Amino acid sequence: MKKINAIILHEDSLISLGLSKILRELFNIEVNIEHNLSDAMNLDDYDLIFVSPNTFALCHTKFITLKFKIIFISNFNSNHPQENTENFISSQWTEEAIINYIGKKISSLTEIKSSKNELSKREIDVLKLIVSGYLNKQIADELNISINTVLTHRKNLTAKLGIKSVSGLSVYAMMNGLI
Amino acid sequence: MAIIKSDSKLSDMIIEEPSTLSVLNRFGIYLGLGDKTLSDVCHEMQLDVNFFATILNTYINEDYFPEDTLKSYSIAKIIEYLFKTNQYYLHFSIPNIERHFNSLIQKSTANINNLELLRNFFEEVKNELLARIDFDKELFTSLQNENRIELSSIENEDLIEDKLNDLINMFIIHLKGDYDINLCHAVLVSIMALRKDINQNNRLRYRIFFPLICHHYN
Repeated sequence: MKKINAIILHEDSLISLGLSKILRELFNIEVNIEHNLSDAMNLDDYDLIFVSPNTFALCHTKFITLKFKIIFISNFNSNHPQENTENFISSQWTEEAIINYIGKKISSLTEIKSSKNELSKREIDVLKLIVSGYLNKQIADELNISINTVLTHRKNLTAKLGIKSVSGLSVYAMMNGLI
Repeated sequence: MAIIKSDSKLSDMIIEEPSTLSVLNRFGIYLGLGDKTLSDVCHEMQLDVNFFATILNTYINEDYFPEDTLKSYSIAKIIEYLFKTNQYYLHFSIPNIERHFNSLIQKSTANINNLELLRNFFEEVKNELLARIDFDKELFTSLQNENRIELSSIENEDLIEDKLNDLINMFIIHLKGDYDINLCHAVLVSIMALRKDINQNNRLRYRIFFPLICHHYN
C-alpha cells in the first residue's frame, strides 16, 4: 500500500515533533516538518497538511485549492472533538482524542486509495500468457493490444496479487487452476 | 531502538532486538553474556569494535546506513563479513526453512499440491541464492589473491529479494485449504527472517562492497 504523506507547518517545535511521532509510529505516515512556509514548497504532493492558524493566515492564498487536505492545529481548550470541527485538532485534547481523530481522517483517505484486488478477465488473459513464457511484445500481438496496455496490466497484476516475478506468477496460476 | 555503542551491554541489545541473534551467531558469539559490553566481547574475540557496531546498527535500523563510515573499512573486512553471512545462509537459514517445509508437507494431507508448489518455488529461490554464494566465493578468492577480476561480471539486479517477497505473499495472501497451522507459521517466519537478512545484507553488498571494488580497480 502506498504510504500517506503529511506535512506539519507549525512554529512550535514541540507540537510538531509530538504530532509527527504519533503520525509516524501509530499510523505509518511519512511526515515532513517545516517551521515556515516557503515559496518553493509544493503542497500538492501531500495527502494531509497540518497547519497552525498563524502560518495559514500569513499565506492563506497558498492553501486555496487544498481545502479538504488541511487540518488546523489549534490550542482551544475543549476536551472533546466536536462534530462540526472536522478540520481541526487541538493540542489540548487528550492523547486518545487526538489518536481517534487522526484514525478517522486516515480511514477516509485510505477508502479512496484502496481498490478491490480481484483480477479482471483481461488481466487473467495476460497472466496466462506471461506464465506460458510470452514476452510483452508477443502478448500485445496475441491480444491485439498495445505494449503499454500490456505493461499496465502487468503493473496491476503485481499490485493486486503482491507477486512480481514470473515464477511467482506461475505458482499463483497453478494454485488457482488457471493453467 | 537506540544506537549500539561500544559500551552498550549485549544482553540489553538482544532483549530489545532479538533479530541481532543472527548477527551474533555469524560472529561466533555465544549466549550467557552476563554484563559484557560490545567492546568486552570484541576484545575477547579479537573483532574490530567500530566495524561490529556499525554492522549491528545497520542491521537493526532500516533507516540507518552510514555510507561514508562503511566505505572507510577495508575491503578485506567487508569480505569477511559477507563470507560469514553466506555461511550463515548455507548452514542455518536454508536448512532451517527446508526442515520446516518438509515437516509441513509430511503433516498435511489435504493441501499437498499447493504446498509442494510453494516448496518448489522455494527450491528455485534457494538455487539462485546458492549460485550467488558460489559467485561470491570466487569473487572473494580473486580479490584476496589480488587477481584481476572482470568487473562486468558483478550483477546488479537482485531477483532473489523479489522472489522471496513473492513467496511470502503467496503464503500470506493466497494460501488455500487445510494445513498444519503451527508448521506453516514456522515456515513463514523462517522465510521472513531470511528476507530481512538478505534485505539488510544487500545494502552492504550493492551500495558499499561493489562500489569499493570498482573504485579499487579503477
